[in-house]
Amino acid sequence: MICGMIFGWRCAPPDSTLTVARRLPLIVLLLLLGWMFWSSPTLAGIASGVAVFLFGMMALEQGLRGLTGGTLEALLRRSTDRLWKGLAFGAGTTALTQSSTLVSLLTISFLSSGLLGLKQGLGVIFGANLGTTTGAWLLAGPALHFNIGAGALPLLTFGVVFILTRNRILRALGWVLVGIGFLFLGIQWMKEGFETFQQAFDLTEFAMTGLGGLLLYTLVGIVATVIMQSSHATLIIVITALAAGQISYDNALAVSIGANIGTAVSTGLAAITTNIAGRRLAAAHLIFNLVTGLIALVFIQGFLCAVELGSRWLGIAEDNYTIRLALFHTLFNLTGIAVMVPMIGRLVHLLETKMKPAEVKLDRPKYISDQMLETPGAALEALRRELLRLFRRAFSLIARILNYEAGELRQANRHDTVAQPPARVHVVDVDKVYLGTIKPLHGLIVAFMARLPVEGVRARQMTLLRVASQDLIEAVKDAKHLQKNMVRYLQSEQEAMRNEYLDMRRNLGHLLARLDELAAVEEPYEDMELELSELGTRIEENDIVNNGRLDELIRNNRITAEQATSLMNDNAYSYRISRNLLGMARATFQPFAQLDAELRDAIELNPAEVRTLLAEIGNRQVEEHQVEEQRKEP
Amino acid sequence: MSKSILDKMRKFLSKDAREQAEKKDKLRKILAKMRKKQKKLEEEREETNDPALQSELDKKIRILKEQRRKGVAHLESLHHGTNE
Repeated sequence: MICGMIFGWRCAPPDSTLTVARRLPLIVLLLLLGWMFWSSPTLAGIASGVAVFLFGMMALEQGLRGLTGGTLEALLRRSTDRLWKGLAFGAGTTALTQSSTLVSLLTISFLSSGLLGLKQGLGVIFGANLGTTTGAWLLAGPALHFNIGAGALPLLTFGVVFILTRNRILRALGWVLVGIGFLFLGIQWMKEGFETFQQAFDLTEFAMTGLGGLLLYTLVGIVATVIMQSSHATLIIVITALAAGQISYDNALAVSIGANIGTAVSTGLAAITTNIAGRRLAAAHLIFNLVTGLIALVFIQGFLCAVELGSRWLGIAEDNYTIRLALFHTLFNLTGIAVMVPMIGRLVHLLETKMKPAEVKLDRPKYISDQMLETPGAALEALRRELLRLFRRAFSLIARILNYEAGELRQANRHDTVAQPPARVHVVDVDKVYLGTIKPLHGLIVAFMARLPVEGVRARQMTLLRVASQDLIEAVKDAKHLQKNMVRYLQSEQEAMRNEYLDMRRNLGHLLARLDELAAVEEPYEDMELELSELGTRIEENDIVNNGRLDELIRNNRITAEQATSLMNDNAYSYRISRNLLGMARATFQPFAQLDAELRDAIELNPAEVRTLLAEIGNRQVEEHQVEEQRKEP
Repeated sequence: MSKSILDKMRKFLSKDAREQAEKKDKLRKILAKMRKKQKKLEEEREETNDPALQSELDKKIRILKEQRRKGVAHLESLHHGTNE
C-alpha cells in the first residue's frame, strides 16, 4: 500500500510486472541506501555527501541559467561561423559554469531553431567534453587540499538571503552561491566519510588488476554516472576515495573513463524524447565519448607514460594520484578531440543520412519544443520560423480560395498567370482545411507563447509575433468571407462586377506571390523594408473605396446600389487580408532586431499618409493631363 | 581635452549614447540607400515614354521622398536629443 502510494502503482494493474521491472533499479537503490543508513554512520555520511553534492550541482545549474542565459546565448550566436569558435565556446563555457548539461541544452535549442548547424553544434559538444575535465582538476586540487567545508556555511547563508530578494539577478546569484555551498559541503562529507571508512575497512582489497579490472571499473564508472546523472559526482567520489587510499590508481583511471562514457549515455537517454536535432547531437556525443573511451582503454599504457611525462614536466609529485588522475582525464579527452575533429564532416554526413527526421505531421510543430522554454532567445527564433510555416499554409488556403493553385503563384512568369481569369471556378471548404491544417498548429504556437518566459526587448518581440499570428488567422477568416461573392461574380455575366472581382483577385494574387517569395529569403535582406513598404503603397492604391473607383462605377451606372454594397464589403475584406498579411510579414520575415523595428516605425508612412499622397499625385496628374490637352487644342 | 575626445569618451562610457550613435549610423545608411533608389527610379522615369509606367514611377518616387523626409526629420531629432 505504502509502496503503491510512493510509486503510483495501481491495486492490480495488468502491466504491474513491467512497472516493477522498470522501477527495479530505483527500488534496489533505495534499499541499498536504507541499508547504508541503518548499518553504518560512515557509509551514511558518504551517501549524504553524494546527495548534497548532487543537490549543489542542481542549484548551481539553476542559478547559472538565470545568471548567464542571455550572455551565453549571445556568445553562442557569435560562435557559429567557425568550428574552432564552437570548440572554444564549448570548452570555455563548460569550464566556467562546470555544467555540460547547460551547454548541451543550449546547443540543442539553437540546433532545433536552425540558428546553429550540426557541424558547429558538434564542435560545441566536443569542446564541452574538454571543458568538463577542468572539474577533475578543481576537485583533485583545491577541493581536497583545503577545508572547503568551512567555506560552505557562509556561502549557504548569503545565498539564501539573495534567494529571498525580489531582484532576478540577485536570486540567480543566490542559487549559484547555495549551489557552490552544497558542493563544498558534499565534498567535505564525502572526504570525512572515506577517511573514517579507511580506518575500518580497506576497499583496496577488492582492487583488480589487468584487463578484467579495467573493464569492470569502467563499467562501474558508467553505471554510477548514469544513476547519478553526473560525471562530476562520479569523479568526486573516485577522487576522494583515491585520496583516502580506498581505490587503487589503476581502477580510479578506469572509473574516470567509465564516467566519460556514462555522461554520454545519460545525455542519450534524455534525448530520446527530444526532436531530431537533439537526437543527432546526443548520438554524436555518444559516438565521441565511446571512441574516446575506447582509445583510452586500448592505449592505457601509452596514456600512463604520457601522464608520467606530463607530471614530471608540471612538477606533480609521484604520489599525488588525484592530480595525475585529472591529467589523465584531460589527456584522453584531448586525444578524442584530436581524433574526432578531422572526421567531423563524415560524422555529420553519417548522422544526417542515418538519422532522418520523421515526417512532420500537420498538427505537430517543426521548430518549437518544450525544451526550448529554457532558452528564450533561441525559442523566439524557432517561434518566428514556426509562424513562417503557418504562413505557408495560410498562403495555400487563401490562394485556393482565390481559385489559384499555390504552384501557379510561385511560377517565374506568374505576372501573366496571376492576371488570367480562372479556367474553372471552384468552392473550397475553408472550415475543413482551416481546422485540419491551420488551427492545430496555431493552437500549439499560442500555447508555446503563453509558456515562454520573456521580458524587456524579448517581450516586445514576443508581442510582435503574437500580433503576427493573429493577423494571419484574421486574413484567413476574411478570405473565407470573401469567397462567397468571389465565386459568384467570377462566373457572373455582368462584366463590370466580374472585372472588379478579377482585379481584386489579381491584386491579392500578386501580393501573395511576392510575400511568398520574400518569406523564402533565409539570409538577412536589407531591402526587405523598402519592398514591404512598396507593397503597402500598392494596397492603398488598390483600395477602390478610397481611390474613387467605386464612386465612378456607381456614377456611370455600371453597377447597381446592391452590387455596390457587396463590392464595398468585399473590398474591405480584401484590404484587411492584404494589410494583415503585410503586418505578419513585417514581424516574421526577418529575425527581430530592436533597432530595425524602431527605425521602421520612424520612417514608415501610415495608410492615411499614403492615401493623402496618392490623392495629391492623382490630382497633379489630372492637372498635367488637362494642361496637355489644352496645349493640343489650338 | 578637445571636444571630440570628450565626445568619444562620453560615447564609450554611456550605453545610451552608444545606442543613439548606432541608431544614427544605421538611419544614415538607410537614407543613403533610399536616396540611391530614388535616383535610379528618376533615371528610369526620364528614359521611359510609357505614360502608365511614368505615372507608376512618379508614385514610387513621391512615396520614397516622403519616407526620406520623415527619416531626415527623425535623424535631426536624434541629433538634438544627443546634444541637449
